[in-house]
Amino acid sequence: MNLPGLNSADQTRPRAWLATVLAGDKDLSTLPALPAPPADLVQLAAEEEVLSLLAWRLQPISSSNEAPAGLTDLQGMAQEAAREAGVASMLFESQTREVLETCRQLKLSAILLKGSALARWAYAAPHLRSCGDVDVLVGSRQEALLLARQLVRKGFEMARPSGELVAYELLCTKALAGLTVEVDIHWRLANSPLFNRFEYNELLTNSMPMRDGQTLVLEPVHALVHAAIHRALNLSIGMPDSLKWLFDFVAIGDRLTASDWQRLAELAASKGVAGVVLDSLEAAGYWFTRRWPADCLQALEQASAREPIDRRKLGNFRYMQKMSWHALPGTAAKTRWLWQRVFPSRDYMIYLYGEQGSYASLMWQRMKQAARKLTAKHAATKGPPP
Amino acid sequence: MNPSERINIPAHVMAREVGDETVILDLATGTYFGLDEVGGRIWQLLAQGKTVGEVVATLVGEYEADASVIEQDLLQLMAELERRQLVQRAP
Repeated sequence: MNLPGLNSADQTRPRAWLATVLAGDKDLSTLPALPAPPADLVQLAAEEEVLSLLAWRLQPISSSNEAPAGLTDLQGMAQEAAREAGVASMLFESQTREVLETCRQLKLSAILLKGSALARWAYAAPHLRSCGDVDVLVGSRQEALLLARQLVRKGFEMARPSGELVAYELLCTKALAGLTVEVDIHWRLANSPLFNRFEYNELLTNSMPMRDGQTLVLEPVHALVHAAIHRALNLSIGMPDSLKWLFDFVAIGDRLTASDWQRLAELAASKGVAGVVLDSLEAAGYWFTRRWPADCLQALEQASAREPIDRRKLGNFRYMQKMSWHALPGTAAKTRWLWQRVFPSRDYMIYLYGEQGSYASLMWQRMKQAARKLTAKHAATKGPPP
Repeated sequence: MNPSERINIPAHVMAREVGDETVILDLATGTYFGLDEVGGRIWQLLAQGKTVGEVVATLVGEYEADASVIEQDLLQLMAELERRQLVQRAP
């Protein structure tokens, strides 16, 4: 169901106020007073990775005489940061083009995924969707290796994967003008056996070309489902539910037609991700005051009741790992997954912990982190002292 | 520059509209520049392959300004862009 959106009391809180501005359905002159100094709001927008969006939404302020106090200052600060975001987006775009050109040279049919894909069609301008990496989907692990090796010849470095059952992707990085560009080469849509009922050929069939006639991205309904899956997996590893991700559902959802919404419910149900999609739509609808088609939400609600995943537990790491393990086909796969989880590759641990070192020292680091997490969880469940 | 000249934008130069300005990034050096609204419009017209004369004529119509002033500003901007190797004269 559509949750009641933010009310006027909520909007006195910075994050809610920010979401209200981004939602774009309120006249700027009627916005509540700034709930925090402009510099703090800019900082928050940066943390939520929506600074460019904020600058864009505040643009009309320049020609308005009725802006609430402080809004003009906020607009100026956000615009300054948006300029840098524009530069970063061009850097990433240059690398995206290089990756896609490499795919064409190798005759691989690649699909651009996630932020760099959505930036091209779901947002009013590419720089409005902050991207930290380039994600491409190819047809198989062999194709991913082929692409990665070719990128290495072009100056990228490749990190060896953690294990082909734990992460269905290869990671390549390159330093460029002070930024680290990360290219994730996927051969499955998600890094979990839990959400991998999508075959590559099906995704290729459900992709659409961009204006250049060559770049392929997922069509809107599949893109929304993928965004929901991506959000669920990020929540499961403890990442906060950022306004950036939630706004993706607004950016896509605002463009869906009535038949698209029907297709969405059917697709999500058929792939066992109705609950995941519903959770994302409810969260996005709440924060950005969007009321999605009731029929679609009802269908998703009914389908999710029949699914093994409890959408209320998406943020529970152990639960999601357990469900991923159950989703694996057979004992051999389950055993291999467990091994890859407990003993990841050295390169992957360097990537995780940002440290160099021997395998033994990195494993020691891994065990210390696990112990810290367990201790923190134990302290949390114990509760405060009397 | 004569009115029939065009410019090329090298492959290592990218541009994007960000709010009221156009940001130009030189991938070769990692440096970036901002053009105001008029500068951004000039960039847009040059990137479309218009000649110097065509750009002047378009801007005169859009801004209702004196052609000689526009031409002077245009040539000044183009000289600066060329100096920074953000554009090249078309052969």
